[in-house]
Amino acid sequence: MTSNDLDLAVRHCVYTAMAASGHAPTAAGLSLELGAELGEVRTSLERLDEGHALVLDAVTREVRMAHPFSNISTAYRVESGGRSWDANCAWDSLALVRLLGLGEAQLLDQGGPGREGRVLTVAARNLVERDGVISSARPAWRWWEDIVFT
Amino acid sequence: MLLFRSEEEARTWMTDRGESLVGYMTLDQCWTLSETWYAGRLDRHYQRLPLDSFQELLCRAGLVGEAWSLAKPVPTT
Repeated sequence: MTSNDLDLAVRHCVYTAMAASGHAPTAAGLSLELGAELGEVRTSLERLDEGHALVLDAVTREVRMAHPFSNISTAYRVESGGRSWDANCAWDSLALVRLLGLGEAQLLDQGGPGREGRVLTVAARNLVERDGVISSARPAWRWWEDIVFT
Repeated sequence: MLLFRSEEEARTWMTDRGESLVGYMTLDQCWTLSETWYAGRLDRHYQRLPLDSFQELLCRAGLVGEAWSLAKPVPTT
């Protein structure tokens, strides 16, 4: 398997798992699933992080983000048909619904200090509530300087 | 990127925290953009779009100007 083939397989495994369960496999889990050496999988994950195809945790180097999915709990959660997923931000919660083609869903914004929580509804593949804005605290060309902050 | 009821609420929240609201999109714009921005990510052979294509998606959602430029601005002399 070439490094490019491994990168494709690792990325696809991560996205498939995130879509199915909301959680990414660990590097060890990927190694087992793909029959690849753990070191090769970790190197592949680093390449995918470098290419912005995935985002790894700064400390553990396990998958933290596979946009729009988040592998850690966040303020933005999507629920549909008894399943749920964490999104990286408000934008990603809408994008997650689109990516999974969810016809009915609830988008839960848990809010935070000085910011009220809110629930948005998707019905018949359409966003019901349209009043509101999504903020950007830095210009688009700087999003990847600190994608966790973005 | 956080959800607010209005631009004013977003601006106030950010100002209170020493940040500035560089840009914002309406939920309408975000819903439109969301249809295409991550399209294909579940495909095995997905390849990231070039920057110009992402810029076009922002433009189609009405998100233009410095806040939505994916390319670093060239300083003017």
